[in-house]
Amino acid sequence: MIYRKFLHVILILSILLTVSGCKQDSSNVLWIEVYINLDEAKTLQSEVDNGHRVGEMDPVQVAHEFLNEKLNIREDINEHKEIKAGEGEKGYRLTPSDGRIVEVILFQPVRTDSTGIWVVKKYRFLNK
Amino acid sequence: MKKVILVALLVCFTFSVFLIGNTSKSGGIVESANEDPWEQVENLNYLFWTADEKIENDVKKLQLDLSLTGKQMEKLKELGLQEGYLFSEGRRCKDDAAKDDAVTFNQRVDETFANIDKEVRVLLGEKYNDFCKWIKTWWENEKMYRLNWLAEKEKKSKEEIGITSTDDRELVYATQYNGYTNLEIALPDKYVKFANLGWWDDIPDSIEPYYSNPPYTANVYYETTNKSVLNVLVREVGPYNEDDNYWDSATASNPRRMFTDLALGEPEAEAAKLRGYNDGKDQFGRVVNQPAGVDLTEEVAAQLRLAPQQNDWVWVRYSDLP
Repeated sequence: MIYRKFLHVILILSILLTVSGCKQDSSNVLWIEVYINLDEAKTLQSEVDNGHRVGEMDPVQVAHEFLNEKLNIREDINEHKEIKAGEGEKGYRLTPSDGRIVEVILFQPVRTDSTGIWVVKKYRFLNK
Repeated sequence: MKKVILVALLVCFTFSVFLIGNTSKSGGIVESANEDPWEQVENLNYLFWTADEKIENDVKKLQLDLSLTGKQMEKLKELGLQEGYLFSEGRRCKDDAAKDDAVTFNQRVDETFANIDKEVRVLLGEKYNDFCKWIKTWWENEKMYRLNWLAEKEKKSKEEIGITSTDDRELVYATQYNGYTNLEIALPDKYVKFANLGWWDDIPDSIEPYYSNPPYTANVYYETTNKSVLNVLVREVGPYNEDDNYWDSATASNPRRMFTDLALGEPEAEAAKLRGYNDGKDQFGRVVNQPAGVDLTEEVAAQLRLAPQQNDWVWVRYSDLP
């Protein structure tokens, strides 16, 4: 009887350890901050205000472009999911077809409304 | 006693008339300060930065009609360029929270043009009023002329094309933008961009089959210089709209997604600027300042022999597009 109880405790403990371990894996991955040049952001906002680069008002497109242009990930993007982000921010987990998983957090540096551009503030790879 | 009352009443009446007169005058001043004196935004950019022969002659006529100096003309041209780079600042304030973002945006545009107007007023001094009248008349004529010109050009092209090729090109106003690469263009259909970049997750399942054969490119031809740029990749979205696949009719296999009451080949921004379609606004509710149907990078523009920042009407062949 004691032996069975002991086995149950071991089982529960191992499940808990596995779950918490998985969580830690994700949250322990450090974010890499992206340098934002405010003057460049303002220039880009002006371009968007005048009808150019319409995609800059869409955080999903900006996240995709970041992978494409800054991280040089040119593979097709199989999936993107919204993740938790701070106030005034947007977060996405993107999965390119090469199996990597990238999370990005974006914010609006010039104007915080639907006509404002988005830029990536930080990112991290959840796997390599 | 009666006389005193009568005099008092007369004095009151005169004073009231004076007050009403002053109020209506100041009301008039406030109104004229708020409204765009030229009745249409960003006309200086269109007037001074379009390479079209007729518009270049219009600029010469402006100088002659108002006897403007070379320096004044240079400054007006510079202000035309500034029109495109002034209204980026401003965060949403508490008062704006209840307002529609586009409304707030358009108010900022108005403020920008009010500032430009102030500069023009200082620059032209006593000629300012004549300038406003000139611009108003010119813009009304230009709109009419341009719509007829476009119709004539399209008609002539269709007659020629009837013999030689299929009807798959349109004459649209081209502006310039800073692209991701040197040689690319932007068209107002986001799914063309998504398909070209392999962002399949962002294209709805119902639409994806129409966009399944990238890369999508277009040919651009500038009649004035007889120069073409062939097979240019569509790499960005715009000008202005992102769901205006104007090269598709409402009944095409890949139907036009928005503004289906517009003629095939007429970009929404063109209709908004020249005909006041959709209240002169784009699909986001923002004021349209250019009648643009395609955006070119500086390199594409240079190959067509357009100078940096210069815009004009170009032919775009869309046969490769979905």
